[in-house]
Amino acid sequence: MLDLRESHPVNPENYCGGMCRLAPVPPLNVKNHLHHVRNTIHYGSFLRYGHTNMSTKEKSLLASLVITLLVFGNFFLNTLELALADEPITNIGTSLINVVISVIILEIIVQSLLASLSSSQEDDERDLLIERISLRNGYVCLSVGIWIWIAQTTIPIWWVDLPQTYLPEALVPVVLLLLFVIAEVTVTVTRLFYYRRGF
Amino acid sequence: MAPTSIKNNMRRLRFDANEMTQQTLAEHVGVTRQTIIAIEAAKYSPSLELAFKIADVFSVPFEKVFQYKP
Repeated sequence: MLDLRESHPVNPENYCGGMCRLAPVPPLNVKNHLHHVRNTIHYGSFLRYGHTNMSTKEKSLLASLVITLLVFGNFFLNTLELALADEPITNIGTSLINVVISVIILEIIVQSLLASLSSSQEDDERDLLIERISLRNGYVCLSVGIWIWIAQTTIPIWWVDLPQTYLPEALVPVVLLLLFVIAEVTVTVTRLFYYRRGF
Repeated sequence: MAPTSIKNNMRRLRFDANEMTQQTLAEHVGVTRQTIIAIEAAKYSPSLELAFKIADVFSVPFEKVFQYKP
């Protein structure tokens, strides 16, 4: 643990109007730079020296995002490989159920751990505002995806010159799930963005 | 996110109130500390209800805490 008091004597200019002490910006030297790096990693913020620690909500959102990307990403990549290899896609229903149950179980375990390690926080008005904005963004993503899919399936019917590009029936639920996952990731990333940036 | 046009004196008022911490103020008005941080940094404009609650905690008129500066 480095002692900032020795390397950064308190400078009156670093006071907030003589009222409150702000974290002083350290002069550039190796010792202070290492401390800054440690501080940045510990507090998870690249915004400003001495920024606040990650809140419970941010940790929860980050965990949720990682689980979603890893489990669903793995499933979609595997399905894509099968589809590109023109191999018969069988038991897609079972695979879908398995992947959804896996995500639910992982979420329950990780969120329970996070909840037990830190104090729970009630949602306040800022949380609700951020949630509304993120849900709107997720809705926009889902709508755009659905409309693109509808266009992709109907336009070739109107103009017969275009090639018919219907999806195999087995892939329809996968594409639907992909759209939902993209919307969910959008919601989570938006919430993380606003919690990090401040709103 | 651009700062809002609502400026505030919350830091000064906290200092005057026996160096009240952000956490204490947050508990008094029923929000999270992150929300107090965002308000102090003028990144979030609180609702009227919350703004009046904050003024009430410091026992000062509303306009002593928040000012509109377009």
